[in-house]
Amino acid sequence: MTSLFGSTALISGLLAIAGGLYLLQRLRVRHRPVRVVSTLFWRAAVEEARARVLVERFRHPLVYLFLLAICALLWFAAGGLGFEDRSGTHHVVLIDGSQGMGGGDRFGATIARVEAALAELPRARRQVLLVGGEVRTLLAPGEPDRLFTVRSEGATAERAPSSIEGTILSLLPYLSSGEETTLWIASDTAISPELRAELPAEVTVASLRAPGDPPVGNRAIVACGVSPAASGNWELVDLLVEVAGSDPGGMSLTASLGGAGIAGGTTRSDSAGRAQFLFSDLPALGARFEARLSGSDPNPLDDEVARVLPVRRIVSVVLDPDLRPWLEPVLAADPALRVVESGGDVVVRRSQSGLGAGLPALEFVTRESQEESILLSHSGEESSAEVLESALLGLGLDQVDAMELAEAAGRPITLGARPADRRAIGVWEDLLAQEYNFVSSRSFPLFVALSIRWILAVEDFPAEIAAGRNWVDPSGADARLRDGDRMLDPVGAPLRPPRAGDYLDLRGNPVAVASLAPAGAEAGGAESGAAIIADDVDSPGGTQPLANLLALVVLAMLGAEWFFHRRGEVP
Amino acid sequence: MATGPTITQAELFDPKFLEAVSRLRLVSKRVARGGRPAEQRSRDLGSGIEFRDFRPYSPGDDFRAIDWNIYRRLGRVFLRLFEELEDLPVYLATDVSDSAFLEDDPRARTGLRTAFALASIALHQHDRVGVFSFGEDLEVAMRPQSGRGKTMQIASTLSGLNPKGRTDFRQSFRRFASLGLRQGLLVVISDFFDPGGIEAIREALGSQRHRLLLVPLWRASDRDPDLTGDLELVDCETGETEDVSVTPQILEKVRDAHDVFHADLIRFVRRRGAGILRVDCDHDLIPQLSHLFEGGRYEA
Repeated sequence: MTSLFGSTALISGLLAIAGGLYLLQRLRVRHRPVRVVSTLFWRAAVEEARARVLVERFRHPLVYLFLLAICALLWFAAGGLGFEDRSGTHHVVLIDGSQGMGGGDRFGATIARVEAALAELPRARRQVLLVGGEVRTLLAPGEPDRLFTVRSEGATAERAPSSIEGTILSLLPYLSSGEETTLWIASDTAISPELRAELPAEVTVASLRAPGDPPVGNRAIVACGVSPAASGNWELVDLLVEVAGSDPGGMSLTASLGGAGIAGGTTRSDSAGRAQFLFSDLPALGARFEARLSGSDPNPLDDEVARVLPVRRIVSVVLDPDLRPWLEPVLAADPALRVVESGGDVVVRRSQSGLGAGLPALEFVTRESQEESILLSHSGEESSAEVLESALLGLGLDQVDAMELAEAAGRPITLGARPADRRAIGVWEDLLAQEYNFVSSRSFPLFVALSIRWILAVEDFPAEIAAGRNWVDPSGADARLRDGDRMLDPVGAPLRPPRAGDYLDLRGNPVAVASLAPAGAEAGGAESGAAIIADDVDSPGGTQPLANLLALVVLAMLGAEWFFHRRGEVP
Repeated sequence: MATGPTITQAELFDPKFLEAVSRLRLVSKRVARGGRPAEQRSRDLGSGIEFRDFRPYSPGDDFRAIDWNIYRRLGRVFLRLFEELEDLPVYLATDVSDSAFLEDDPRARTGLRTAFALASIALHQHDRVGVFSFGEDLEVAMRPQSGRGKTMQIASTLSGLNPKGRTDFRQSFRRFASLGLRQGLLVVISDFFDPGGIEAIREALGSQRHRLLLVPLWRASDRDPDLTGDLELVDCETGETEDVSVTPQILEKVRDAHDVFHADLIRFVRRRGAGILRVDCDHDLIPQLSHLFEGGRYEA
């Protein structure tokens, strides 16, 4: 049996009705006055009855049961009591709430399609999930249809990539429980045959796609990437926006940087319906870049993009004159570094030198003064183990031929880390000697450049920041983003911003997340408009409501009550 | 306090009833021995003062001489035979309390008709008949008179009686005793619903020096009320109310109370040596009286 209220509420309500009727039954009744020739015999009878009971007796038990039956049936009818479909198949409806459904009224039509289909699904074994930026339950098993109506009000497609397939993958443990399950895909997005092949045999995929086709003629921003400026200027970046659409030659972008409009950039288009807008030599000062497709198209959700540009500035290095022969060419080759005589950001020196006191330092030390070949000093907030682990890649040490160095030094080349007031790196100065061949190796410039960047915590920046794609904190901290009052914390898993928008990283720096349409979005807001991989599914038998039958029974019982009342057998 | 409507003479004594009473008189006249009691004293045993013997009742015998004790014991009607017949007056005390006028077919109708029938028979036997009405108190409606010509006067008197408030046997029959009437047969026609219960009736009638014939006017609904539901029963005479939720158990107790009351009344009658003639108000009166006078049997 199924009910709108759930079994607990149904039984609780029934008990409440029984209790209420009981109390009403115990209430003093309103007596109908009747004149009689004498109350002589009645008085004797009533006094005798009164004398035998402590409290007023429970009156008319059969009538009470009769009324309780009527009220219970009405309660059951109101509770939508019904027989459940016995086929045993579970039904999971996935509604695509991604930006691909933002064209025309596709999302609204899909919601309506699902709402109409709910009546055909057994209430106890159906659930509806809205798969937008995040997965939200619109209807849990056993809940009535009207809750879906209420919860779906105001729901819209979000500026987020479709995650229908990802959701199906996350449901796999549940789908693999051996029970018959039908996945109803309410989307214009195709399900890949590969995913279908991964699903258990008990799982059937069916389409609840809204009638009609998605609107055509859509244009969508499919890529937005930032890279160091091709001009070689460390303090500049290039930004590329790629747009897909049916008329790439006629597309244009409205762009701004830091709120000020900028020229549309260099445009390239190809025969595949792509147009690329390249914004070169943008200052890497952390300004916000925004771009929007000019004109209008059926799906506005994929027409705009934003990106906070990275902050890049040249590092001033004070170089110990004793080290110039080895390091000056290396430093000069790095566009991010500039050698200064004093007042720099970092100093590269021998340990005996007092140069650049107080500055973060890359020091070349004697073998006697430092046990480790390379010693990383880090702040107390960092873990030495983590520092060592990250240094292998972060300092390019994986490129160093440690075996060769060890053979040359006659002792092992070791790496160590220790906490200190500030970051610093100490390296055996012996390694600068010719016989070690370290200076002349290809890893030496990389080691120097990365060491200086590590000492100053100079961050790299990702090329692309998009919803649904991994985001890594450039500082190396745990990937967490604040979304308004909510902290997105994947707890060790890769962080994927759920939807486009503005976030803050752990240091309070703004992070603009774009929502980039997948390939084929220009065909109508969905991937290629391909047909959903759907199995042949018979429309399942739904819950068979008893409301009408119960109402007829109640009507008959009321008629019987009226009959007995007229006969005086029911008060 | 008069609460009910009176019953007109036309309603009470319609031609059909009068004709039936005439037939009843004829039945009572087919007497082998007897006739007017005063005429029988020379050779027949009669209903005089000195007791001599019993004999079975024969149609037409003077009902005043019926020995009700023997009837109750044996189920047969016997006459008590006396040395000498005397002119034994008949006093008809009719209940005209409010309860007698309450129902759709008021008991007063049956009661007054009973009084008229008995009076008519007595008058045709040249006996003296007095008519009294009682409710809260007793009133003399017609002083004892004899003569067949008084029949219609009695009818007129009876039809002129009005409801007289609550039933008070003590007061009414204290008044009757104070009238100082000659010893005779006191016929009490009533529903006997005195709020004082059987005690009031015993007290009121037990001290009477007259021979007694009680005529309870009853209905089957007295014992088995046709009432259901949650009721506020209002006593039509006292105005007292009783909240009752009618259930089979309550109805059973009502029946018990009724039966106890009736048993107490019978016990009183037996002890008092009186007679009792229960009249069912829901059935025709004349057949019930005919059964007594014609068949010599009466099923109490």
